[in-house]
Amino acid sequence: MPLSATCRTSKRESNPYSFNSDWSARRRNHPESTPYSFTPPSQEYSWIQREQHKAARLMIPNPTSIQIANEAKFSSLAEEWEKETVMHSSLSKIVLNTAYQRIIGMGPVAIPFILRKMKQRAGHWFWALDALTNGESPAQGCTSVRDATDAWLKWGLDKGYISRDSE
Amino acid sequence: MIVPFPTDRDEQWAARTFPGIAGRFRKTSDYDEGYNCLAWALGRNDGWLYPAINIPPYTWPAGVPEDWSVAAIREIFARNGYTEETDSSDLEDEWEKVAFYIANNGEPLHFSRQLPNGKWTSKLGKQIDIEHDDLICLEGANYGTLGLILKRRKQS
Repeated sequence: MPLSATCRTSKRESNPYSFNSDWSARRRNHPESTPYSFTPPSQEYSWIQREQHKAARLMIPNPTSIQIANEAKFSSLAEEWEKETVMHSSLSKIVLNTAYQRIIGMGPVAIPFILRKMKQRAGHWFWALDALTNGESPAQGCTSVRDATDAWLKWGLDKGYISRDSE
Repeated sequence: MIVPFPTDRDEQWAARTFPGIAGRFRKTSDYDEGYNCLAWALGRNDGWLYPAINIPPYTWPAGVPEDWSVAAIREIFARNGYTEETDSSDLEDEWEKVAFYIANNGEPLHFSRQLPNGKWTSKLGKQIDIEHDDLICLEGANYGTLGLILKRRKQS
């Protein structure tokens, strides 16, 4: 082997940024390493882990993190809405509240969160559900809050937005 | 299962929300979002009265303008016998009274009904029912000011 070739190989292996170094493995095993670190995926990774890595590389939040963020946003807005409107009898005061409007602005992604909330406490989510479902109106004919809530929950079960055991 | 909100300390919530009410009221029912103060002032607890009839379960009396305004709501009370206006919130024999709380922009915000003992009863939005000593104690940022008192002859 020519001397120059030996030198080149030796130089590459000693370089910590070299492709052949064990730098990436050390980084992957580092205790502070997160699933979103830019560790190259390998065969031992599951499909979802590879997809998470891909998303992290492209700066695209993965579906789970979007779901968690949406749920946190909904919970915060719903709590704010309850505090600010619980004393009102005028529906316009209740549904034109900024937090309520922001929940409607979340789009259909808010529907399962609303229905889960309705399972705990009926609330006055009818206006938001009407807007988010383009007027599905499964509660047509109901004149009590309890009956209308039950009708929407049944609709949510039928459509798969909630399950029987969802809280 | 419907979980009351707030789960406890309703009295503290009321006193915090309506500063003038402290020491001048008592809670008479638990949290119930099934009816509003307008229904309660009319002596009902079976529905939420609001002119949004295309969105169940809200109901509004047929023939009354679909408008959350003093004029439309006054018509609802007139249909229930409350036709006379009065300046007095005192208890009067032979008369039953209801009171309107109105915002500066004219929007009706709350309604109370006088009890036979001279005190008043109110449904605080989605929250509890209370019995309060007078009408002034609920005035403030949330319910505006007392704007109108109507009365009808006591029904046997």
